[in-house]
Amino acid sequence: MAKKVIDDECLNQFVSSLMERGYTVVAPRKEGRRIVYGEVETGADFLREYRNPQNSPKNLLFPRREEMLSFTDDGEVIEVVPDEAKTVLLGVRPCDAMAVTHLDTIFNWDYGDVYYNRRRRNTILIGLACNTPDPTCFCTSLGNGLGPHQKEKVDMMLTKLEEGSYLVEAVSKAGEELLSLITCGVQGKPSHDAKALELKERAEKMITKRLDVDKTFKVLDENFDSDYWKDVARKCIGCGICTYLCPTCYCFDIQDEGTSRFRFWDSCQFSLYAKHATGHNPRDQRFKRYRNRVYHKFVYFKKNFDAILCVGCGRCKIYCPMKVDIFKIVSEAEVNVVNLGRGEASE
Amino acid sequence: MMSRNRGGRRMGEDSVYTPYPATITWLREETPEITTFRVALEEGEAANSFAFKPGNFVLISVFGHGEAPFAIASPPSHGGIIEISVRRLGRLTQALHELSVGDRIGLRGPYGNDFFRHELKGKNLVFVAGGIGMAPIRSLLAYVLDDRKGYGEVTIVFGARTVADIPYKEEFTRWGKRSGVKVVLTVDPGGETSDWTGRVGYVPNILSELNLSPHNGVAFVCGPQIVIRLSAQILSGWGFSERNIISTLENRMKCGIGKCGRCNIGHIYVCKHGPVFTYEEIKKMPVSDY
Repeated sequence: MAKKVIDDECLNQFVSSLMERGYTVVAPRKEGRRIVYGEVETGADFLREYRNPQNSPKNLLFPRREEMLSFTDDGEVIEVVPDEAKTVLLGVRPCDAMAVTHLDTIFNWDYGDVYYNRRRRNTILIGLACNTPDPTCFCTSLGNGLGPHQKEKVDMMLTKLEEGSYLVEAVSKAGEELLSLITCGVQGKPSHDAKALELKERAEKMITKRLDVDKTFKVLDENFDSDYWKDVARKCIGCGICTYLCPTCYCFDIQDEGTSRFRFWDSCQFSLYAKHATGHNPRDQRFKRYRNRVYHKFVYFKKNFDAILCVGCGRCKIYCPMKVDIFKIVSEAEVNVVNLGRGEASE
Repeated sequence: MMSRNRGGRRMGEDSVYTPYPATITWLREETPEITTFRVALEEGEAANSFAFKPGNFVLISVFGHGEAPFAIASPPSHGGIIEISVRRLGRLTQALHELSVGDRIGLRGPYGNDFFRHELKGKNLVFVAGGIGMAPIRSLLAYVLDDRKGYGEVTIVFGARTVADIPYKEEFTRWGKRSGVKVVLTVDPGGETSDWTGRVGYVPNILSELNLSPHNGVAFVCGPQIVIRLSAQILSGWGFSERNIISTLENRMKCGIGKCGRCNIGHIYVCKHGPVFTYEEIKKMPVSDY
């Protein structure tokens, strides 16, 4: 695949040419004190050095609230679907790109979700390799080739080689077409590849948190009833922020309001989430809801789709008001289920 | 950012979430809480291609009030008539109960798996149900009785809280008159009336007195969790294999197609993997999830 090396100015020009071609460009940008994925007006708005944005690509592909249908008084149904606006999602970290792959899976599990798929097929992902992972990161343990420089899940990859110098690589056909829009810069040389490789290895070494996901799967699967889950969930206040900021949490609710039907994000951390109309609530206690989230990530999704539904981005811990640490919880599960007992059935 | 398509399903790319327009063509108040609605899809492709099996469910919309899943209560052998029996319980079911014949609703589906987990032809069939749990059973039972010679002995044990809470009263009488069909109706203690000729007692207790042979038998149990669990234990005590005790689970659902998340029992999604499960499968599920 084609490669180029460009400077900041050339990158800005590239963003401008995307906009000229009608793409909406969404990239990490400053919004007050926060860094979020948002629409940029110029290439200069695109932050190239950042901790992961607070929100994730999920917000773009699967908005927090969207109208699905409206209806008239006489029962006529009017479909509301996203239009085919073309978007480039620029500066996506490999963890967030992997999260999109997981969303692709769930929104196409036998039934295609038109709302998601329309946005998805009109979205091109341009990745930005992660040279300085955070101490909270643990992407390299989560399988499917995930790592700070993983390229497979994006259309085009940017690697910052040094200040003002980026290696640009096309990964998919769509990426190759975009690369042809870059008229500035120089052709990539083997020395650039060597530098990128060095940065990749350095970034991978910086990630010191390790998790054996196969072992974790087994330990969790065999210890659903352990008192450990009561113990770890004790400080959770059930606010659901972990699920809102998680790039892979996708649960939603569907509700009618007035003459429209909406879907909006829901959270398995909320007590009404699984409550039956009869009043019976299968996950009536907070520890059951917290356990459900952990198991969905590390056991259930693996059973159904052979992948871990966590990309190690660390958002859930960083933004948790109680600093509940999913990495610590799953990585220490093996030791603690023994200490706290494998548990009687905890209904 | 949005485009609108009137009439629904005209996009050349069906949205699975868009209900088919449908009309209530008949209804029957079964009990003070349960009403059965017959629902006809409006003319068109949907009406022609809609095919279901006993055990499948549909999502019913009352526009402005929402959408909820219901087991299809009618058999596919009645010319494709779709009936649902609805217990008034929440916002949507309340709104549904206020509708009349001729009113328009929405319907999507059918979704989920069906009762034919094994070959049922030639088998002796046992149906055990409590309350609104009779709705999915009615679909299979009526289907079986439409092909009476194709199956062996049929035993039905049904229980409701009180005599007034028994749905499908005339149908139970009619089914009981068919050859090789035994119907046992019961009401919870205290729910009987002076002229009640059926049994008094909880479903599992009444079932336990029947001492049914597991030979060539398949049992279907639907109702509250406790009825499922206790009845399955009794059947299994008689020698019914756990594979041959079949039930439906009904967790809260929104999408019906494995995406919204909430109906999971462990890694099992009731809407996608079920709602019909064998007792062998149910026993492996974490009890605290359903």
